[in-house]
Amino acid sequence: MGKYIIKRILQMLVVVILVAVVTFFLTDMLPSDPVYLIGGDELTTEEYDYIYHQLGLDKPLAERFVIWARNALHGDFGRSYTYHKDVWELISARIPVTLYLSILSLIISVPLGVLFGMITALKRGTKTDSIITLLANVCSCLPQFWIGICLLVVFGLKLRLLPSVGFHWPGEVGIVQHIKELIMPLICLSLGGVASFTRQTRSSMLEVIRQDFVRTAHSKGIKERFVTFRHIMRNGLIPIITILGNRLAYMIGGSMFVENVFSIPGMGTLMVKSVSCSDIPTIQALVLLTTMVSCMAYLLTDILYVIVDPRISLTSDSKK
Amino acid sequence: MKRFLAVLLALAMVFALAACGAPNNNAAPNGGNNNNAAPEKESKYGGTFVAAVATSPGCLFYPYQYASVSTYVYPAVETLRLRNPQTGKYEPNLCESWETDLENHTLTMKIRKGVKFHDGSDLNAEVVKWNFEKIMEYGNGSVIQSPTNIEVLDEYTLKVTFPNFDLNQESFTYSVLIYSKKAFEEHGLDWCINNCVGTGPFVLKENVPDSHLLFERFDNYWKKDAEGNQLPYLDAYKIQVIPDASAQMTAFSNNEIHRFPCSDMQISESMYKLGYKNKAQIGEANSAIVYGVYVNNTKEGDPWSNPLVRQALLLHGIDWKAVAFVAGGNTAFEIMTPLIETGDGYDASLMDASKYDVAKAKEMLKEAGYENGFKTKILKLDYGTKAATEIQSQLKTNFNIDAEIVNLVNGDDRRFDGVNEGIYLNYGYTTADFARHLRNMFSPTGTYKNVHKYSDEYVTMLQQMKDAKTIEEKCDLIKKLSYKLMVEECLFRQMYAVPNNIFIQDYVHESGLERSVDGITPETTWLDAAYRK
Repeated sequence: MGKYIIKRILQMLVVVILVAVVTFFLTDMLPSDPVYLIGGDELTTEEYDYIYHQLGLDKPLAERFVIWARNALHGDFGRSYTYHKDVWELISARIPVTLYLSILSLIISVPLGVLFGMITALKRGTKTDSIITLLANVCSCLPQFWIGICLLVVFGLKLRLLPSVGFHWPGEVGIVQHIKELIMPLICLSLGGVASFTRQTRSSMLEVIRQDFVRTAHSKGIKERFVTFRHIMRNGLIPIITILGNRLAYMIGGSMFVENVFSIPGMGTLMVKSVSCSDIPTIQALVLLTTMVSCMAYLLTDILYVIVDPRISLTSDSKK
Repeated sequence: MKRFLAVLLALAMVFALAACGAPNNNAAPNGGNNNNAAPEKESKYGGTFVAAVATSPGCLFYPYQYASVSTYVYPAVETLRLRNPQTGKYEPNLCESWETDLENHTLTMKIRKGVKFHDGSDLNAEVVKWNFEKIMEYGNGSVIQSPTNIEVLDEYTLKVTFPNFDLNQESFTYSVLIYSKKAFEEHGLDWCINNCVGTGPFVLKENVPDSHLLFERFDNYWKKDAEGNQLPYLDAYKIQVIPDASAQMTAFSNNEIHRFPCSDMQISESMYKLGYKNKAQIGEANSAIVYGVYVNNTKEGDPWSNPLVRQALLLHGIDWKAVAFVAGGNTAFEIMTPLIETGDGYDASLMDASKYDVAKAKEMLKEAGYENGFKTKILKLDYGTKAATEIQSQLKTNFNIDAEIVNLVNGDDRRFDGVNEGIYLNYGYTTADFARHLRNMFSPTGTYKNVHKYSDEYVTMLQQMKDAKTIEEKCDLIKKLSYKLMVEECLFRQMYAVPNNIFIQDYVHESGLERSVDGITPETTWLDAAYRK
């Protein structure tokens, strides 16, 4: 297990380095000129040259990469062209918001998804199963920004029940206002999660229900509830762990739509703004960070998988 | 299982009820129900005004990066003078009076006494001089006409000497924002880029990027209203960043914001349907977005290098009214220049040079040797898709010209490098100062220096405009240069304008001079008592 983790961490490093190199060179190939983005269109030659030199764009590409990589290793991702702040300072202010939303969304979507999945699996073939499965299929197809706009129209424009924009911590506006601000973004972020957990739970539980040991448990006269919770659920929920990691990685990256619609100052908003403004240092840092989070999530998923199901081995040694 | 489900549902309901609570007591009034007449002797003090913007500020320090700064700092930082949008005349602000010496190219300004910055430091000639020097230090000297000398005559008198006489000396004091020297010395540039310490009616308390800027009342503000009451009336002023236009509309309707400028046609139309009215004053600077076409005439042998081709197509060959309608919707209209009517050198007759006449255009193309059409490119950004497609279609249908549409991303340097032949579509805002456009964009050292090849005559006239000694002379030269640029050499023409829609709640009251670029005067803005949260 230890060897496997070390091996995976090394693989992770290779992936991160590759992504860093590719991102750096790809962002450099962007046809946008950061000088005009910073100084506006009405630049005189002198003004243009001043900003060009200030950004270090007069240096060769390879030299710029070496400088960037060396600084990145020291935690210095450079200075944002758009915000005029250290990129790390910028990102570190956003991480708590995005992480908070992502974790809350997981807290909502996992139990609900599992619950609905269990209901559909246990009531397979009934109307309840058909309705929930249909809704899950529909919800997993709906784009987040579209859900966001629909919610805005219903709860903001028509009913005027919830604030349309903004995010504040409970200490700033009170818990009630904080919850009000969270409802619509969380629905957006969680709906897809609930749907995918429902579908996954349903299919994996159905697979377990058909297993011999479940039939044996039934034939031994064990109570239905006991069989469901001790045998079916325990074994049926193992595959959920695989999508847990995926979901977390997806949320970090996918929050950009929701954050943008509801004006939440998180990583997603930063990503959208940095891409639209060709804020190259911020894009490079965000891509690198998202890659690292995804790699970590997948590694944790693999490790958790082994912990919850000892039958699964990750190394060739343990097979022997 | 059923019990578990019931508990879960009950919890969800409690959560939803607690969160939703009672609907907002200040339910939005019908936008059409205009209620501008305030009750007699009602106190104007209190409340927070919330203005929405689509993007977060990049920099708040004008000397370092002047573009778009005033959109965000106007509650806190002021200019030396104000421009009256109705008359086009300049009025005193931080600068009490000014004197221009035509012979010696100098501008002498008397700085207002008794004005304090938010950090307690005094406004004086030394501070203004420091602001000008910072602008030059950061390579933005052209903003203040690149003075050769800035001299403090006494504590409140400043004399600025310019290399040559330029009537724009009259105008830059309207846009240059004055910051505290003490704050810069204490905190440095990095801090100043994300903060602002000015003399304005509000003090910046919070700047949360991509969220909001919160300003609070400055009790030592120097201005008083006509009755001698201390300004500002509001307790706080908030600039809320809302990138999504639908969210802006919802927030406005929900009374979360009091003002938002809207350039999205569909959202504007939805706002009209909801009963709200556009309160933008058409015909003022920045009141409309203008879309223009820029020709690359630098390629030898390319059809666009021939002025006859340019005139044929840009002045007669394209139905710009149709382009305006297709790309800008019902409210868009055809224009030739971004200059507003009260701007120096406005020439209403410029429009007469452009008449949609396909037969005439064909004749001109034939004369130029292109009666069978040619191949070219239309470079455009995302927003230019509709206009580019309409132009492409008209060129093909009327003149058999195959125009390939090239999509660029924002900031793409192919806009200005002149490598691609063809035309480029861009946008800007209506302006009162077209001379600045001519100097900074349409000159041999300007933005389009690689795209445009100007005639010697044009360059000479440009220099004459810079050296103009009287406003009449300058206006005359702006007219001539506009005609030369847009008609004779036909290197640029404005296609159409889309008026900015500005939606303001009916319970928001404005009075006095409009001192910000968006026509807002934060110090004199006040809210009806019922809406002062």
